Amino acid sequence: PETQKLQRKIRPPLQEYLRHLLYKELNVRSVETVLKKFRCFPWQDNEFMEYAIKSFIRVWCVKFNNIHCVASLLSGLYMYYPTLGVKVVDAVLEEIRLGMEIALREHNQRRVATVKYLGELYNYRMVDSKVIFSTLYSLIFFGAGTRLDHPRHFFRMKLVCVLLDACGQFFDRGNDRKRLDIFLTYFQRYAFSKEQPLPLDTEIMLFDSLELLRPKLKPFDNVEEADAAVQALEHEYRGDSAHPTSLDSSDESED
Amino acid sequence: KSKKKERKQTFKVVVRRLPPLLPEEILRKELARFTPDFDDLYYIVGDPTLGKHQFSRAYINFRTAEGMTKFARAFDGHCFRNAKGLEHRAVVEVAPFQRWPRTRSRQDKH
Repeated sequence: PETQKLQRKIRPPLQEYLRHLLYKELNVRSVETVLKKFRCFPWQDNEFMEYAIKSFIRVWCVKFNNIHCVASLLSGLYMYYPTLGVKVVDAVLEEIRLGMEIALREHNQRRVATVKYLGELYNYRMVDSKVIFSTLYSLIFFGAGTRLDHPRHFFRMKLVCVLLDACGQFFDRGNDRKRLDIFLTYFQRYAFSKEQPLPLDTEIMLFDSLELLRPKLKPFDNVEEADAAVQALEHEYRGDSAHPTSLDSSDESED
Repeated sequence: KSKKKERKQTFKVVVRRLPPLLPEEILRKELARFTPDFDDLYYIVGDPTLGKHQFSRAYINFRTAEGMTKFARAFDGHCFRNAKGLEHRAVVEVAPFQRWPRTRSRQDKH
């Protein structure tokens, strides 16, 4: 059969250069020099800014292990070009949200990369812990049990684990620690709402994440235990606005 | 260590699931009746790599919670119909990320 030649997209040199820096050159060692080069770009040019925002969103074009470099670069540019930072974060959160609403398998790789990116954006202080927790809760509650997140689908568990692995270690003090403990209780109950037994890779991923974050935690053995723990939590915090899961209490400046 | 400056609180709202090819002027016209309540707005066109799942978005900054609520009540579910009769219902939500692009940033003297 005739093979069709792949048409290479022709882009202006400036865009090619940006792509080269962001998708090829950028790694742990080069992030400082790449940042300097990025600061020389013509950011006042609206068309360029639009293109840069677009490129910063497509984090699935970057090697998975280099995603944190993109977050680092973005936070380095934030103080000079806040518009870039804000619009990229907006788009990342929309990408995660829309991904849950359309739930297409061919987007899975892209969704994993995006969730990892969000975790790294927390590590580089672009978003605060409220954003992370509301994303975590939406991952386990949005459309749960329906076509969007069927008991036989385990992909959302992967997303939660990737996000927890990316930034969960930093929720180790104060309210964020409590919030994470509470989330892990809900997350374990969510895991039991899936068809049991879990596929081996999902189970390993789940226990690895729990182990990484709370080495001393004893995971629940069955759904009754998980249910009881959630009920105990809900009883304890009923009508309590200082509830650690209540995302209104402002403690942004907490380091 | 709280040197957080008390900035005037604003309320950032996102209008999601707008038609991907909706021109900004038309959206601005639709939103004109809410102008006394908000001070800024930016519009993001849909991502073409999402094919039929692409939607445009608008972010609006409200000065008061009342203004925001009023807008959400009036505009959530607002229907946009294109020439082919295809319908898009707008979804109004509190934006998950509340920062707003500052107009004045630090000068970059590289």
